[in-house]
Amino acid sequence: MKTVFRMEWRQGRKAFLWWTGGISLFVLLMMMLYPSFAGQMAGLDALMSGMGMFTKMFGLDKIKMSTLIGFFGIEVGTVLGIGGAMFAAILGLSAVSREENRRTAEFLFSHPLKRSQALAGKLLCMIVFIILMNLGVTLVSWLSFLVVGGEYVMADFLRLMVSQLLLHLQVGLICFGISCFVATESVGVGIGVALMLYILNLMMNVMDDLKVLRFLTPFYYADYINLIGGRLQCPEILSGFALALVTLAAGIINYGHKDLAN
Amino acid sequence: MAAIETKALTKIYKNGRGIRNVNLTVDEGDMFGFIGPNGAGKSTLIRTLLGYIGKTGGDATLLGESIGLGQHINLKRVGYLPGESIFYKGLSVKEILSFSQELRHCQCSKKAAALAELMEIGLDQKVETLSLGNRKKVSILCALQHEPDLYMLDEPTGGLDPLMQKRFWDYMLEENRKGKTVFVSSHTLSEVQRYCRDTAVIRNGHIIARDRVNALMETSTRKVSLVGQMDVSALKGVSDLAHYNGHMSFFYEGDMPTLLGALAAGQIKDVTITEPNLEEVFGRLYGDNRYEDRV
Repeated sequence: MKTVFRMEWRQGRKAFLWWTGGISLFVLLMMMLYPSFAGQMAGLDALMSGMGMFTKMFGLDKIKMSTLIGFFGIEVGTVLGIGGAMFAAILGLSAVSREENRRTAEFLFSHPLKRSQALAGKLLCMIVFIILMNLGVTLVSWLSFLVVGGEYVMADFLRLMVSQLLLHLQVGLICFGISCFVATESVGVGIGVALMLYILNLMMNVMDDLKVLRFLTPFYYADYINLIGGRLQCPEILSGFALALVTLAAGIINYGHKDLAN
Repeated sequence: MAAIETKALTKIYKNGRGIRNVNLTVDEGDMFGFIGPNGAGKSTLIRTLLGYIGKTGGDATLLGESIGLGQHINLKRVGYLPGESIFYKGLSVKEILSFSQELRHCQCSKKAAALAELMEIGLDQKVETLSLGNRKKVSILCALQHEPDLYMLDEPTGGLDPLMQKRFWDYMLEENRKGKTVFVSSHTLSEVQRYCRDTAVIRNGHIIARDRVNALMETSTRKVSLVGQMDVSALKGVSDLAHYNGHMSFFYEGDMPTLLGALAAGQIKDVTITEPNLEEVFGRLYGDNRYEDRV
């Protein structure tokens, strides 16, 4: 497993650095804009709280963009959530299927290596990449808060970042499970999965009938609307991870019994 | 103990192709050639034995261990050389070999270095910059460096120049002399004829011939090649008649005095009568239903 982990790290570290660097840079640039927007935001808050469905969809009636944490949550949290979810989805979807798609499975499994050992090494590496990406972005975000200055509640910030991490992990695990069933990599599918889950959450914000979907999409419990001045959404987190673990388990079991494509 | 033993081994894909009721025994210490056309089932058999794909029926053992999907235990003693040599990007030859050594828990870097020198492949080169032949060499090193008891080689010399082919086969012959079993799947019939003791021929998923190479080639059939013309219409046992540029050739299975009489009656400047080589035997095995189930 260690050997496979090291190979996965070697193969994925460039993409990890690009995604982490890219998202971190975005966070930094947006937060650098806050001081110039802050003065204008008070008027904008009033405007945005009266824009009907748009207001409800993005929770602009509950969270103030004029506050540091509100600005961070609305401007940055969305991109961090979607961007990180895309990264996790792409990581997860390609982790296993890549071996058959790129035809390295023939080489890998010519060795005395259990399929479960190979999967364990890949899964662990994916989780480590996701955690490190989130740690990196969290550090940059916190530093940007220090640079920009302004008041915020640390608990709100930590709640946001922990929820982002859980969101990305859940998406990664689900996609890893799917990867065990397919023999083709698809960046497009990964992006699609992330966007679909995000859109589900937006729809829930405006349509109360869809509230049950909050147990399906991790974007609900990572939504700044529920976290700033709120609390961690534990039931939704647990149900989300239960779904992820079921998908993962099904994938692992399937991979142990499938013919490897040549 | 048989190195490889299959009993009615079957693997049928959804499209109906695959291998059916394959009975094959490869003794320990044998040098075995496995031949067949594209799509005959050679790779299916190998991949089923190695656990890449699951069998549909029958049984098989590899070095005494039962085969199975994902079976990995017996791979410690197997060196598999796949037909295609594809590796992870961004790695050097040395890193690929180290990765393979780590997965095998083997301390064989010295052996790997010696093999790299033999095959004239630089250890510091990145694999994606290598030609097809050089990637094949890396694949060879990965299969050989841990000195397995059983070598399973799929098209081992594809892409290698003649010098490297000779070095490779000299090495395999030496390994075989030490008691290692070598199982070769190859289109290069001259190699099978030259280096293997036993052989099996597969067609449409069935083994259609299984014998010593010498015995398989033992036949009363003769290949007749001549410069000139002769009338073969009265000769019985003539097949694969070909005319080209004043030459004629055909295969003849019959009594020699009748053939010599027909040759004497013709207008012939030169004639050669030889045994068919394995390629010609192979071609006839594929084209001739008389050779069905000659096992």
